[in-house]
Amino acid sequence: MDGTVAGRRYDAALNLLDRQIIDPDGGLVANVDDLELTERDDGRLVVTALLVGPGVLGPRLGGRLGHWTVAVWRRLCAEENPKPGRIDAADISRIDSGVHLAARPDDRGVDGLERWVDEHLIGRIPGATHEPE
Amino acid sequence: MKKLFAVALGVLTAIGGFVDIGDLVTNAVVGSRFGMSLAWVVVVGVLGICVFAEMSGRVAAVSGRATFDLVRERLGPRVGLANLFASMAVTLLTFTAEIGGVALALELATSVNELLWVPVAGVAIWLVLWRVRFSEVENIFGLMGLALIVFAVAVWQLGPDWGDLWAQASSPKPPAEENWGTYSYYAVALFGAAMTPYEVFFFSSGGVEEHWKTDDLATMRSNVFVGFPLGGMLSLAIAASTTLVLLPVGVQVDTLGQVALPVAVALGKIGLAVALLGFFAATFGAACETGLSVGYSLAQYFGWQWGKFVRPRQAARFHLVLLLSTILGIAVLLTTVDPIKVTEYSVVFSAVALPLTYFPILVVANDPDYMGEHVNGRLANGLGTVYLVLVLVASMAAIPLMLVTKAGQ
Amino acid sequence: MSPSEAAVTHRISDLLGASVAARDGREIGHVNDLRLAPGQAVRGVHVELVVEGLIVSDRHAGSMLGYDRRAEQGPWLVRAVVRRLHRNARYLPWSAVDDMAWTDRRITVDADKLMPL
Repeated sequence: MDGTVAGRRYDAALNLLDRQIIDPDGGLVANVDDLELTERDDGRLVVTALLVGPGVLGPRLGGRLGHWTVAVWRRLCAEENPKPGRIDAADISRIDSGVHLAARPDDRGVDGLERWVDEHLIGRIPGATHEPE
Repeated sequence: MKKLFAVALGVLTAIGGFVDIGDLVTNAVVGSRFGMSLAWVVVVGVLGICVFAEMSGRVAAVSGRATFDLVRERLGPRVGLANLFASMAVTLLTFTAEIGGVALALELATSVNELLWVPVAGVAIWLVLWRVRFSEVENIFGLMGLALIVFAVAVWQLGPDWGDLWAQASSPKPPAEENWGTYSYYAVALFGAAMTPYEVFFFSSGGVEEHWKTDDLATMRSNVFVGFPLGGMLSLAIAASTTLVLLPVGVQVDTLGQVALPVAVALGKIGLAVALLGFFAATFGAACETGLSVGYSLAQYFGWQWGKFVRPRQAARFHLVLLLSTILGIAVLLTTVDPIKVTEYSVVFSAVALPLTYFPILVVANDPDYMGEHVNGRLANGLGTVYLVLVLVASMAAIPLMLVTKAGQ
Repeated sequence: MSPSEAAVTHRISDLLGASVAARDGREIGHVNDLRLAPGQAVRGVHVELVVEGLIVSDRHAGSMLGYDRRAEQGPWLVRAVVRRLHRNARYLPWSAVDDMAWTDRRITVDADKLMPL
């Protein structure tokens, strides 16, 4: 199964799903909570995006906890029919122990909670912009 | 020369930072009730933590991924979440115990009631986590923790019959006043105290905090294989000191003061002061480690930016978790629960939670995609497998033993 | 860069764990994982990843932890246990998939094309 055609093969659940997404500066973005697959004209499925957030993680947790997670997420999102955070597969530069991106994600769905906590809570404590080294 | 200094510093901070409130209390209790007959458990536990710390440190240095990253990606989000709940619960319990330990150490030093110190200690710990550089926290409290060497000095000063101590250590069975039930229960507790789960979260995440690379593997290994065993000897010294002073008169250890009693007997007021400094350093340092570990586990499960190596505003959720954990720890202690009791429960539940963390580390340390050429060799796998079986046994035995012996009565 | 309105998108979580049945209705197992291979087009920096096959196992849940990919990955005890649990795991190329019912999470396949991993 490996190496008959040039190019690296991956197992989606093993190598992509639940992996850390890392931006070009080495910053940690999110974990891959789900993958978007698109049907091509010939019926084949292509990985087109990484999906992140409670909206997609919830269903994978299953059961009541999963439903509750999605319900809370829908409540907290500003829009009527919120879409999960999406990072296009075209932005992936490398896959090793994590998924590395070539460009910083611009979808607000990806880091909404972080921005909120930063703006309203942590950012207000003195010393929050203190450089670490 | 600079490299040598760095290695020496690493080893010294590993020794001084090895002991936490769980080790202090459990070893003292065991010495006062079982003498040295459980010393073998400390040896087994220290070897175990060395094996797994080296593995998790190697994974962090080679791949840049810390332990809880591995838990979710290998076990999946559902099992990973269950693992997260369990690990966080145990680590929060340990964090609470450590804050309590700081308060107790301050109470012993000042005679001001522990409850008044709890919020002070909690706030101080949070401030250190908020502002003080990671490496400074490690170095300051690690070196200060070397004060616990006073226990070894005290044992020496007490002029023990070494032959008798050795005889106790080499006959692993309960003494006359105890039974196999309590013996086994305390064996599990000592094992849990030596191999605390938070240690691997912390060690691997700390490796990422300090930007370890493959060049740092040698330094990391010297910290682990020299520093940890010597730190383990401090645990044995604590047990030996209560064996010599408290066991003969049948005094059981219930308070932190009694843990220090043998040092006071052997070395007087100065020895006691050094011991209290050691208690403060060990518990404050461990409180920082466990507090950070709660944040590391949660952030790594969800993929959030974590760590003290970025500005707090860039790891806002992580810092929020640290803040909430500290508030929770203070709140629990203010219900006047005895921190010693909290400690005793935390080490037993640590034993229960061990397989959850060690299993993913063992699997990932063998994955060539992660480790390249640095995958486990035969020795690491051999020891890793033996310890996996051991932690499974300890984990399954812990709760039944706790119920049967009513937590060691 | 979003897919056009006409393209149909799914989530991989709908495919993982889906039940796999032969043409005659016989239950084969569940989808344990998907094999991805490099496709023809280059999307962005990384080459496009196309689903080329399924890993089907009769155990509903449970990751194979990577032991299916490499024959000799250690440690021995863990590999032995995982292999035993998933001893009936098979690989199915995508060409053998007849029909994918997304809402029922059910795939019908040509069972003759099942291969060892």
